[in-house]
Amino acid sequence: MKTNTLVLAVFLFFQSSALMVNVSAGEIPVGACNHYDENKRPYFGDLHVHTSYSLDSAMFDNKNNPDNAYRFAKGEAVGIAPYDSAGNPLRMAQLLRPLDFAGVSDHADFLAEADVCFNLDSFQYFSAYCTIVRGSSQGKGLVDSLAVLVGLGQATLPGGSRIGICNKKWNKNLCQRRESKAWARVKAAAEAHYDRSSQCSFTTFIGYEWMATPNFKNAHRLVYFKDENVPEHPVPFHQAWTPLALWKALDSGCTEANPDCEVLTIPHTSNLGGGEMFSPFAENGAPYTAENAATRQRMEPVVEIYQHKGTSECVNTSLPYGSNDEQCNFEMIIENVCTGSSDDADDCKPLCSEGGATYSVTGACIEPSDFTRAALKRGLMVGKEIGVNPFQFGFVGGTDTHNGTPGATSEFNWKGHSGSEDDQLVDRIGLADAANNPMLDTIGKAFPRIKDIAGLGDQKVYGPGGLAVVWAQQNSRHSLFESMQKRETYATSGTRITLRMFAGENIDMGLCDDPDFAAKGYEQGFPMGSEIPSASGSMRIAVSAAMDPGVSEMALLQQPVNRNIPTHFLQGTPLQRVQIVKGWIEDNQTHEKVYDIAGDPSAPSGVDPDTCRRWGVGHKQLCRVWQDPDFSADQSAFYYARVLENPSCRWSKIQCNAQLASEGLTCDAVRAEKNHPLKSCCDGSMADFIQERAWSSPVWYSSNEK
Amino acid sequence: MKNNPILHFFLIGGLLYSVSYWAQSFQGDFTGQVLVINKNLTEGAVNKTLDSFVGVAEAEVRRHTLDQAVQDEVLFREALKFNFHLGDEIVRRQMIRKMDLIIESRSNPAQPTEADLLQWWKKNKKQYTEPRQYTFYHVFSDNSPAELERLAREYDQVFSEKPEKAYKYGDAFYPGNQFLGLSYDEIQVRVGASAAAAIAKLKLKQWSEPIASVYGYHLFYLDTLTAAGELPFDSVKEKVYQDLMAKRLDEEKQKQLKAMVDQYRVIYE
Repeated sequence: MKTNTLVLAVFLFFQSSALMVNVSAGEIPVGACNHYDENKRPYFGDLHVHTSYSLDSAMFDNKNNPDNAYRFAKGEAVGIAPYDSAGNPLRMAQLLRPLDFAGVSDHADFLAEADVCFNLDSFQYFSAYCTIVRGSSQGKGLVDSLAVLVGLGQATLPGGSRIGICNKKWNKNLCQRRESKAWARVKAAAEAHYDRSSQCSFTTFIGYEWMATPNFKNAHRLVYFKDENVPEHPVPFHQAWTPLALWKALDSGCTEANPDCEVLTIPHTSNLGGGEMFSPFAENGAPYTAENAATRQRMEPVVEIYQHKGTSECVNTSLPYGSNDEQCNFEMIIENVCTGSSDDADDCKPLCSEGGATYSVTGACIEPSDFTRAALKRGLMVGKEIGVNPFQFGFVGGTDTHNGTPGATSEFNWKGHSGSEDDQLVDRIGLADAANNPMLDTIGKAFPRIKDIAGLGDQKVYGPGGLAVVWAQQNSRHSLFESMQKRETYATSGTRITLRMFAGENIDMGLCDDPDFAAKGYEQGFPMGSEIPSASGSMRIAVSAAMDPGVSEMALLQQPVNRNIPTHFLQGTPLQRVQIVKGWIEDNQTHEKVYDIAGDPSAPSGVDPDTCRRWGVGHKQLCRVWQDPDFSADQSAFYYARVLENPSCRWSKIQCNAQLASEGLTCDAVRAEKNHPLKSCCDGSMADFIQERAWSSPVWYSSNEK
Repeated sequence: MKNNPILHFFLIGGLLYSVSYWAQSFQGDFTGQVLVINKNLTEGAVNKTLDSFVGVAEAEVRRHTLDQAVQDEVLFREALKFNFHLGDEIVRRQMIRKMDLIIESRSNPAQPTEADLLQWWKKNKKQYTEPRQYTFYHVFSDNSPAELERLAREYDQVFSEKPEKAYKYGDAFYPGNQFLGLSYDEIQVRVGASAAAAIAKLKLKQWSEPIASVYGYHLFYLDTLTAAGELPFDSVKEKVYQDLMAKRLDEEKQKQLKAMVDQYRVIYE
């Protein structure tokens, strides 16, 4: 049977171009899915997925292609790096719960290079560039460093310059051909796995990642198309080197070229933006005009607020656009940031704009304005000035897996996201120690700005990432895509909380008690992502949340890959509270405030640090209709909901506990040795516990005042 | 004269130079390997490249293509000297895959007839089925099974005549009240594992006793259950064809592989 599958896979691999021509089977009509629900259901997915078609993923020795990624998302077990000399995977991974939808987002940049350098039938296979790039997949060290530098070089050159194997005139044709074939296979895999039956069990989206990192400032976007009507080629950074140029290229290649083509872009990892991601300038230092603000609003309905490289919600600092919210510290990749308060530690890390030298992993400054809450506030100001808010976006989460493993967000079962780079726990909890790491040493010498980092692979501040959740009437491309365009989405930190929000002045204060909560919510108000009118001068927001129901123990029996997971991890964690985050303009300045509206943060709950068993009081469901006590019709504002679970163990705590136990070690013994590989497990440098959460997309109220 | 080192140096040096020159002329001018490039073979590549490079002179393209062919061959031979084909893991895998494909291309299984497809489908119906689908209704109480029993008594007529409306009499259930055509896995996602197991055991068209879920207590009413039914032949014909061809291809291939393996004596250490 295994050979059977292999034969078919090889057959499909070589027939992919032909498949692409024949598979366009059209879209599922509205109402054709068995589970169609007029009042919508939440569908859980992952739109940030890299496979071996992404050059960095291939360099990490990942061999899962888009087909494997979709199989994984649908619940099949797949092998992950490292591999033995015969090419057999040494690790397996499998989701305990399949996803409802997924999209493979391989880098448009390097799509050709990955194909050229990792396939022997390419005549540039033995070129210096390919040898370096390929060498990185076979070991960690100096070759890695060179490979990373080659990759970084291309993605960071301002002005969209291209370097490397595909920059040479004589390789242009080769690279174009290779890129086309890879893109065809991306499309073919998405088409093959889209369930067009009435079961509508799984939806795929065709897309890629635009990997702009000008001057080490992350401006990356995921690009997704509504259905199988997609342009002939993806748009890489070297062809469109600003977001506006990208959107223009997408309009000309998609929406203007084909009336059936629709597209959206999803910014991600804005926490590494270096002030770039939500800059007040549209392009080249020019402020937003109403026209390009509208373009941004249309093209970017949602932003990835959480993923493998931490949260992009907010940062605590007294600087403009900073926050004062203890929950901003959740999975921050830069810890111990100076807030400007008297509570700051002596060794706190000042922000760049304070003259400090705190840099993100890409070498860019951490800036408060890079965080989504700051951008929402800035959007209110820009909207007030020009009449269009360019930063009117909802939220999704994602993994950014580079193993081709979408939706692998379980803290208790995370195997890393970077192939052979983080296959061992010691890699995932590695310290920032350039002296012991040739890769960091090389990068550090080449780019002295980059300090205090623990590598471009994983490090202890990273995590499994989150999920994108879309409220839709059925699990089909058009239904999900249209909901994303309407921002009726939310993000989770990987858990499967159900989170719903309706807002409006006519929301019944007793809505939470109504079994027809959803139908009445739509009747009386507007769902998350909406602009809310208010004639009467009040704002009511209904938020309901239900805990993650967990996973059946039977799943473990059916999945040999996951059989060793302690069963107590399978239960969902009860909810602790629901919060409303409000931002508004007053006296021509932006403000923010966080309200606890349901649940109780002081209710006793906790985690046994030795077993990671959770205990205490929590809620299975929470709901509240909240009326803003400070609402003013003259003040433009946004509101979003945040739902927190009771505490649970972070992945690092679970895995450190297991590793220490398997080696018969105690933390005292680890601490007694100066550079023990597991020292991060015991030195307090990683949070032991986290509160998993969900973030709703905001709703906006716009005052008429200019 | 007898002990003049400078004179000896020049005499010996001159002698060595003469011997070397003589030896070189004896061997000819070129001592490296000869490389023969078939110009006819590269002609196709030239034409193909010409199509792709608008505005580049043909002579330049021709020269480049030939240069490239020479370079490729040289690089290939140099790579062989380094034994890349033996040590490079990716080369090894690619070679295995190439051989795999060669064997596959030699395999030429017979195209199945309509009868073959039908026979395969009948024999392997389990592969072509949809999961069981459950459509059910519920009434929810967030904390009290007794409350559910009271509701069932009080609203007996509604519960029996319009079970789809019964949820309106219970507490709000925020994950949603519509459960149409769900597979067992989907039910687990919606209400948790234990409730899903209970629903799977319900009798049709009857209200259940209170059943605990992750969220509280429910009365469930299983309205329809679509058996894990086979899919009609016509709707899966394409997949049946692919599966049968893959099977036949595999069988042919295994025969060839076995013949190859039989040429070796395998020793397990």
